[in-house]
Amino acid sequence: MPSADKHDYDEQRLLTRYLLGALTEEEAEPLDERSLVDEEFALRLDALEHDLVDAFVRGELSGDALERFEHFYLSSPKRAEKVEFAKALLRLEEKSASRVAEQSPAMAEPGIKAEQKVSGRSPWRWLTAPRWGLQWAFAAAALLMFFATGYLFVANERLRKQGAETQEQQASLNHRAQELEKELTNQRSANDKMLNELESLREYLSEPRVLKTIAFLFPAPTRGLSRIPTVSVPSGTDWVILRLQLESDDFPTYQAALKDSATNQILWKAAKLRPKSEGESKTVSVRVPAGLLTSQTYILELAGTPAQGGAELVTSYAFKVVQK
Amino acid sequence: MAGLKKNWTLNQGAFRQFLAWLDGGVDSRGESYLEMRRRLVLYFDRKNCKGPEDMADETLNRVARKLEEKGQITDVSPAHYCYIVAKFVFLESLREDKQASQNLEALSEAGATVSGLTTIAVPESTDDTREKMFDCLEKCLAKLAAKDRELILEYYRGEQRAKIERRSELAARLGVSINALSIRACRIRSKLEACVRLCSAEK
Repeated sequence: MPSADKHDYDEQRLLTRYLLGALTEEEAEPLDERSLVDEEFALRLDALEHDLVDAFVRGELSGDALERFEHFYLSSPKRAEKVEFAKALLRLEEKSASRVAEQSPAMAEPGIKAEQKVSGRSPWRWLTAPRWGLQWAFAAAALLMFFATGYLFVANERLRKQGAETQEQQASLNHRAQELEKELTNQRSANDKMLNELESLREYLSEPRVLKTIAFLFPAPTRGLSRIPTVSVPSGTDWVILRLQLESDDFPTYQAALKDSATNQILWKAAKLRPKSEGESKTVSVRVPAGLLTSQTYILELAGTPAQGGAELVTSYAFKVVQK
Repeated sequence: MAGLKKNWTLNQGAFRQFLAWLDGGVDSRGESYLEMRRRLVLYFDRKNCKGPEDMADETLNRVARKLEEKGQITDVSPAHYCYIVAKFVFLESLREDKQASQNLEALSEAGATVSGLTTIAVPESTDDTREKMFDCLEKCLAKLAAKDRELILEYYRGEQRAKIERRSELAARLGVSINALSIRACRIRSKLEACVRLCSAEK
């Protein structure tokens, strides 16, 4: 036995003998003084007295201790009152134990106190011992846990849904971002292309060069059916000169109008065109911008302009343009 | 009691002075006085004195009178001074008992029939008394704070080994030492006993 435990054991034996009046006056005197002067000692003495009385009430005393208790301890009315109190306390414990036994029939074995079952050798006996406050506390804790679990479940579901929604939104945003990026890339590409074209045009306009011109002679139209002449325009041609042969030269100046043969829409006009002699015939030259012409059939209407003003249609020349 | 002068009474001023001296500078609202009286009663009771409460009051009155006469007592602590006076009171009671016993013997020799005055008669508790006490215990338990009630019922439950183990578990659960738990339980039980005593006396 460790020395501290032995000291406690020896003191406990001494104090028990003191409480049972088994010490001499000389042995008791220092304990008498301590019981009045030393607060902690007084409390330990009280605690030991309570346990001694409880032991008597529960029938745990025997031999000399029991005899002294019955003859000395119980000889005082005040001490006898303590014994009555301890009996009431034990009765309360038994009443509580019997209440637990009623609730649990397996515990109700005749002639055996519920407490004896509780004080058996099972390590789990403390779970079955009736404890009012603890039972209520456990019940309250169980109820609290139930509600807490329910709340956490609902909250978890809500959070899960929110998480899924957030993921969807995120995916949608990512997709939109990709689309926008793609659009931006396309815009940039278009911009770059336009810039390149602009740069090319600037270069084109800034550099002096020889304009490329092609000319075609259209004979005077006859009353009979004839094939429509084809005008081949190579790429890079700037002007297409159409030399229109006249049947008669009746006007000082002429004006020409280029029309779309399908829609009869005037696409281009030229005025104050003076005729020129070429051998025995007269021609009027009309310089059309090549960029205006596409691969289709056109009609060029020639009108004379009298000196007094006005215009008179002289003839029209139909031709087909082929871009090369 | 022969010790107290008949022309001296504990007046309010002397009582306040006595309380302040017992408190030692920390106002306990009379708790120090009540605790000292309780210990004196237990002391005289352990000595098997006939009237432990009267003897405790006699002790305290004498201390209060001495304090008023001297103005102050500083050579010993208040508790120690109370012990010294209590010892005198006890020895005086022994002398009185011895004198009474000698008188009884003398009377007995003279043929008179006398009763054993030194024998303390402990009344037998009746069923009514026990029932009354049990009802008072339930009432006084209900007046306790829940944690105190749970502690005291848990602390004093069980027999021998089971009780020791339960107390160890309780101390561990509360985070205190066995000794601290014992003192706490003891205080609650003493408070409960006092409540039950008062309740039983009222009915």
